[in-house]
Amino acid sequence: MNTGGYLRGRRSPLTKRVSGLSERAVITFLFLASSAAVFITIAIIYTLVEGTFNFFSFEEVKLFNFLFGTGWVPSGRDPEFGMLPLISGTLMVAGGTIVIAGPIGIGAALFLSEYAPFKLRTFLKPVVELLAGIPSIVYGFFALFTIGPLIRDIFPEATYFNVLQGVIVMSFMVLPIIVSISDDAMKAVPRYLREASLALGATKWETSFKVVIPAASSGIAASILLGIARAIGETMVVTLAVGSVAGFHFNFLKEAQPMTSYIAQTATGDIPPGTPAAEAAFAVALVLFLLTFLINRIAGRIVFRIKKGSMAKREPSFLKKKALEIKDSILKKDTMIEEETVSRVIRIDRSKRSIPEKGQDRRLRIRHIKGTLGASLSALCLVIAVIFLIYLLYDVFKGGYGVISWDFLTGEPGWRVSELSIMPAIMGSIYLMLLTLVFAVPVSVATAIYFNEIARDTFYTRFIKRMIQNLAGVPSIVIGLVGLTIFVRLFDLGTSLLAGSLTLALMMMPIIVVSSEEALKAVPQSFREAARGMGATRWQTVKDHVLPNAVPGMITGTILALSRAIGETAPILFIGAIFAKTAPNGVMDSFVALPLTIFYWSRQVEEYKPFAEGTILVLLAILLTMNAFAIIIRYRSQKRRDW
Amino acid sequence: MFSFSRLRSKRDGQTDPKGTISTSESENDILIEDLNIYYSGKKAVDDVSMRIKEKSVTAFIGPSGCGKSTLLRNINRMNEEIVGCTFDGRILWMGQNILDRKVDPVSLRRRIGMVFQKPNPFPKSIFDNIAYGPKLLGIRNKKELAGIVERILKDAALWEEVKDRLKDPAMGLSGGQQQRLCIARALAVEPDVILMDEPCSALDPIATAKIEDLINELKKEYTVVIVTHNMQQAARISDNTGFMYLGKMIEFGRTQQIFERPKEELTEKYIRGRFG
Ligand SMILES: Nc1ncnc2c1ncn2[C@@H]1O[C@H](COP(=O)(O)OP(=O)(O)OP(=O)(O)O)[C@@H](O)[C@H]1O
Ligand SMILES: [Mg+2]
Repeated sequence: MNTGGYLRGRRSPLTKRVSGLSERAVITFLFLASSAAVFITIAIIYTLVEGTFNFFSFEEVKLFNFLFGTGWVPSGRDPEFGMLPLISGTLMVAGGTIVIAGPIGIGAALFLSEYAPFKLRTFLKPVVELLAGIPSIVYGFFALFTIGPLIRDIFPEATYFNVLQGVIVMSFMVLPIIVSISDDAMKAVPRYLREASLALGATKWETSFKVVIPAASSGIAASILLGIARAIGETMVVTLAVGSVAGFHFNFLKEAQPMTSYIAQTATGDIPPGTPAAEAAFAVALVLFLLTFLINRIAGRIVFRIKKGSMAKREPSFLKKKALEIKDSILKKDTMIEEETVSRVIRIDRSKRSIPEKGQDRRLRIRHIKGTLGASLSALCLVIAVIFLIYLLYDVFKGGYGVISWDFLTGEPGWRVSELSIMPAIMGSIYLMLLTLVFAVPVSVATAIYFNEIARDTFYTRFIKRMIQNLAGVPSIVIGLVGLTIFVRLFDLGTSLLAGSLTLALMMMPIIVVSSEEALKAVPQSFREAARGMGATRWQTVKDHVLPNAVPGMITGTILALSRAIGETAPILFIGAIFAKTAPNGVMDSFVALPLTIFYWSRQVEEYKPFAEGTILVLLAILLTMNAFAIIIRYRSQKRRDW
Repeated sequence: MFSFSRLRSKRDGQTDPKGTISTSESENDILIEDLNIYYSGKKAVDDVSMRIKEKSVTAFIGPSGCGKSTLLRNINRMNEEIVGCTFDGRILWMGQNILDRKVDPVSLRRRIGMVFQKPNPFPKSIFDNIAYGPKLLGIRNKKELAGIVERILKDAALWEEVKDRLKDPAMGLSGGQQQRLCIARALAVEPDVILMDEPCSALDPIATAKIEDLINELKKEYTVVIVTHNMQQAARISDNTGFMYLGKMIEFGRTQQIFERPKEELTEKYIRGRFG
């Protein structure tokens, strides 16, 4: 451009101001985006508190009865709202799950951390994590149709819906959480502690069991807590397999209704809105929310401490240290005097041996046998998990591949079994995913950038970060209620594709924030320092030097998050439709989705079962494709990068 | 399978030549022959042969990375725990080649204890740290364990300092106390040999002096092998000293001789601090 010399002097401060302005605008935008977490949290609290108020404003509802009543009969002439049956249902499911998943998970983690050679480990870890990638609706289906008949074979008194089948399947669902966090905790136990034990003549098993596990115990406890929180918040498995008739009992062979199952029932049953039975869902959800919040917070703190590495060598607390110091100073005088004489007076006399040599050889043989047994048992835990995974996939495939046909995938469906087609559901799921992408990704990525690149470590940023962590632990059915209250009713979007995808976006936001932050953290600090050193502003540094290197990681994380979104059922249970003849034509149209279809068909007569299995196959195929894409992108970007 | 326990039971029946520091060769000496140690095929210890006298202190000195720790860790076969570490050659002790597959490293390590550079107490109580080994060996009786813990802590000159807080976490002790606790923990399984890898390098001079006192006491009953960077320390506490360089045992002999009249030029240079 041709600018006169006299202008140049005026222009440059001007451009500087403009770029300063836009920089400030960008940063303001990032800041605003990062506050989305606050709005989501407010939305959740508003939903739950308002709904709970409505519930308690009905005169037949009493707080005392709600908390301590043993009858939960929400509809009918004499409704009862005693929550204990729902609590007992949830307790049975969570407790049973932990009884099974705890030992198996810890055993599998022990094998991965202590015994598996590096190569086997890098192969097995993703296999276990595959269990986490399977949508919960698939687990529920498997519990009802595959585990159920097995249980009724063994225990003829078991009912069609029962706690046990849900518990068994749920155990494998929470297994990856327990395995991966316990494994991290065990891996974090410093090598020198293992060496100390081995050097004393302990076997590998003794070292693992008596040193590694105790040293990792808080991490293991955290993994168990997170597993419990997951089991408490899980909806689809319990709705499908455990039941929807509340009873105050602790019989695992009988039907029960956990809290989440009741909330789901209000979405699917014929409970009219505005009745106490419908509003009760909000009160139950509030209890559920508080419970999972509490557990997640405790577990989160422990995991955070492990990540910071303070677990390895736990320092005594300040108070304890002081107390020891004082004790020392009191003891000091005579200790010092004593010590002078100590080395002269006391002679090491080895004739006073206390450990009998007799029988040591036999004992050693037994110790080795125990060690072999222990190692085999922990390997067995992993084998069980892998067998479960293979059997589940095989079972679904066997049942479902027969119904897959061009008509099934693309035809226009009718109501009759002969006319079933999942075309509208496939399209619904795809639209849902694309819209979720549009709503969730910009805000989440902006939040991640703001926290990782722009914000200083202030009270406010710590507060919001913690809020995002908390959001990640909110049970999906609670998010479903929020979507219903805020988007469907408050924003008056109705049960539309728009409302559905906004709800899913709420669910996905914390996940994408975390994965984007990880991608940003993977960019070496030196890139930033170099750019800043050359005079680039903060935003320029991010835009030109950090983001380009973080994008592949972000894409990978986003695809993985979306693949989770597409498998989610509970959040859209209140919003999605049961049947549609065509794909949605606009964002305000109603929609069906693949997981919803699986859900509805598994509650129909037997003839629908293969079609549900076919739908599961399609869903799993889509998930697999997305995951494969994510892996390829990650692989290619890792190959290309030169740092 | 070879058994150290049977061997010791047999010997316990015979009269123990207690108190006499043997200068002659004995079966209890550790005889290293043609020992090579490799990390993923790369040689770290090169053809070392030497005799470590029983009931004496033997020190390994040498510049960083010369293979002192590697050599030491092979004496109780701790190197087997490192992926990629292999060795050949022989170490004879108690009439056995302890590198032989037939010798169970678990039983060997009980006989040949080890103390590490960084104090590494278990994140358990002081009591449980000491009792860990005896429990593995089948001592379950509370009173018996308490007796062992007291005696061992007295042996390690730690009793007076910790007797009132045996249930407190070992992590709360000072560095020097932690290291003496680790020595005590090693003594608690009643070994014959104690290997120490720079046991004082993380400690202050006062704590170091206490450990040196302890080593002086230990050598009357135990064979002590110690790696140290501190040449004064080697001169103070050891009876024999080996100087290593680039994986080779350059010179090995009486400590006095090594420090006063080294035969090798390299040794001379190193102990005069005129190295590299
Ligand atoms: N775990 C290992 N894997 C691979 N190489 C190793 C390992 N440990 C040691 N080495 C190598 O073996 C050689 C000898 O190491 P070693 O630790 O025995 O030396 P050192 O004499 O004890 O040194 P320092 O005085 O620093 O402790 C060094 O070159 C070292 O790099
Ligand atoms: Mg060393």
